[in-house]
Amino acid sequence: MATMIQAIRLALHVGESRHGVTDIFGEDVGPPLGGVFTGTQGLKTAWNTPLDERGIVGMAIGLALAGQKPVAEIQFCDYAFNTIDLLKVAGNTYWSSGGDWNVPMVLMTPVGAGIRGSIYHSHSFDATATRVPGWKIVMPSTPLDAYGLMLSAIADPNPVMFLMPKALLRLKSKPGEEIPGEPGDDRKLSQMIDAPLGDRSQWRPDWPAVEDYFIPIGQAKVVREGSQVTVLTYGRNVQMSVAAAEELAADGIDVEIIDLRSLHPYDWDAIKASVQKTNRVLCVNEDTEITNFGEHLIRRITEELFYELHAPPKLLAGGHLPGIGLADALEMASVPQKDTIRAAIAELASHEP
Amino acid sequence: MPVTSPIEIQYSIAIGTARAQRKGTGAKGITIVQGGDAGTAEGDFATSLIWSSRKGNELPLLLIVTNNRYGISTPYAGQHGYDHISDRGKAFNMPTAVIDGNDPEAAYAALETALHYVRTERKPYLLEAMVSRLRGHSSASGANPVKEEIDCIERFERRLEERNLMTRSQMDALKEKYTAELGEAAKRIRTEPQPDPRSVYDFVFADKNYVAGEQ
Repeated sequence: MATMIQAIRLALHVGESRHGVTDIFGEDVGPPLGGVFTGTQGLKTAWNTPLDERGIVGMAIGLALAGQKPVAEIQFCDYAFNTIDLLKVAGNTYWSSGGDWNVPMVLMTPVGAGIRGSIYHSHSFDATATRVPGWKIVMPSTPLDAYGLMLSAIADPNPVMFLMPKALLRLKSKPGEEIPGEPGDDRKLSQMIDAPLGDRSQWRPDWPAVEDYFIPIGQAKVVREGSQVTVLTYGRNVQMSVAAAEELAADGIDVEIIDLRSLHPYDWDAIKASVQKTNRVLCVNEDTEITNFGEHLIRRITEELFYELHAPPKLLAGGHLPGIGLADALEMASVPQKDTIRAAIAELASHEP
Repeated sequence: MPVTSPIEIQYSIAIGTARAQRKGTGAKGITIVQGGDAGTAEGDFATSLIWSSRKGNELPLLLIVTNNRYGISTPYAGQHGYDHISDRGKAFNMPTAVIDGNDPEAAYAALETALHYVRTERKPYLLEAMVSRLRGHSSASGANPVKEEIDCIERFERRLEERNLMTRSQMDALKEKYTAELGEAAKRIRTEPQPDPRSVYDFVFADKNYVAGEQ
């Protein structure tokens, strides 16, 4: 049972072994550390960069233009904001060159709250990312999805942003959601691929023979079927929404949860089918609520499915705050929690037109 | 590389193409990145100096800065504490040179030296070319010719004439030929039909042309 961060590492290993990844780089990505979340331990193409996010993104663009296949990391998305004009270049080069130059790069970055990271280790990036055209944007909520989406990101001929919900990185996969080829025993997998503490200079990973597994970008997943309310969410809020739905089931409220997995392109067919079934919709994510990606979904749902709605669509997002609070109570008040999701669903379910 | 309008991002992207050509890859090519003096104040210029000179991981990168001593309306002297931008390369252990960029012969020789170094050593080189500002900036002085500046073409033409390498009439004929060619191109562009408005959505993605929200 791989954790999400092990799943990402396994996908990067498959990427550099079989799918042409030439460079995996970022701050503390190479040896000895192998990533502040351990995501790049033992990878043969991983290397350390200067502490320069603009350099990291520019390096990736240049490598991609030169025919290489780079996977770059911004250590926390909170530090990606000074790269936005370079992200725009990655997204606009194919378009502005009339199809002459594509930029096949992957940019991965941990996002979101849940580790008491406060103002500079808790930010979300989905609202910002979805405002940069030319990028595909994915965000897994399970280890297997992380594995399959990373391999699809690597195979994609476009720039792909891989948002890593940092609160879920040590989450283990559920039975039945193993990565094809991973050893069933957690301890064995850890012994094979986790770097030891202390001196690692002689350590080499013993990679399990994991198989290719691609989750198409643009495909959502119904993680819980239900008939009364649709929840559209992704990343860390998926598990919270499922937990809230399980509690509400005891009150007779039947909730459908859709994990979007891809924010761009997003799976409109899945969204539409679910909203047509439940007639009530809640969008949940952690980014700040003003000009939030959920607002776009609600705008489209309102425009295209207005007469099928039995309640006003609702958004539950992070507060429009300059940061995420540090104290437990403040962090929890900054972004949606299981209880606030539960309350929002219950309110929608009981709404009478 | 496709041309971009920001004055600095090429420096950050150049380290990527240069890494693909680094020592040990067997690549023979090098990366040349160019900018003006004012743009070197942006952090991306420092990015290219830092990343191209990492010990043991040097990059085959030729950095050329053309220094005309102005950023739009702002003089160089009031914004840069160092005498020469190329001096910044010295802190990164890279060879540097300052040349008269108005002199094609000096420029050719300096480029030959710099290119040879980058090609053979697979390491960075910073070349600063002092140049005239023949016309003002469109946003500052209406792009009018500046009479006080040395006209590099006129000066070179005089030299060609003095050395009997070309005659005045030969040079005038060349000028006329290319002026006519450019005039024709400008005319052709003005009379070309407008593109199909829907084609603005072409080439957003290299696989399927997703438009926001469209499946």
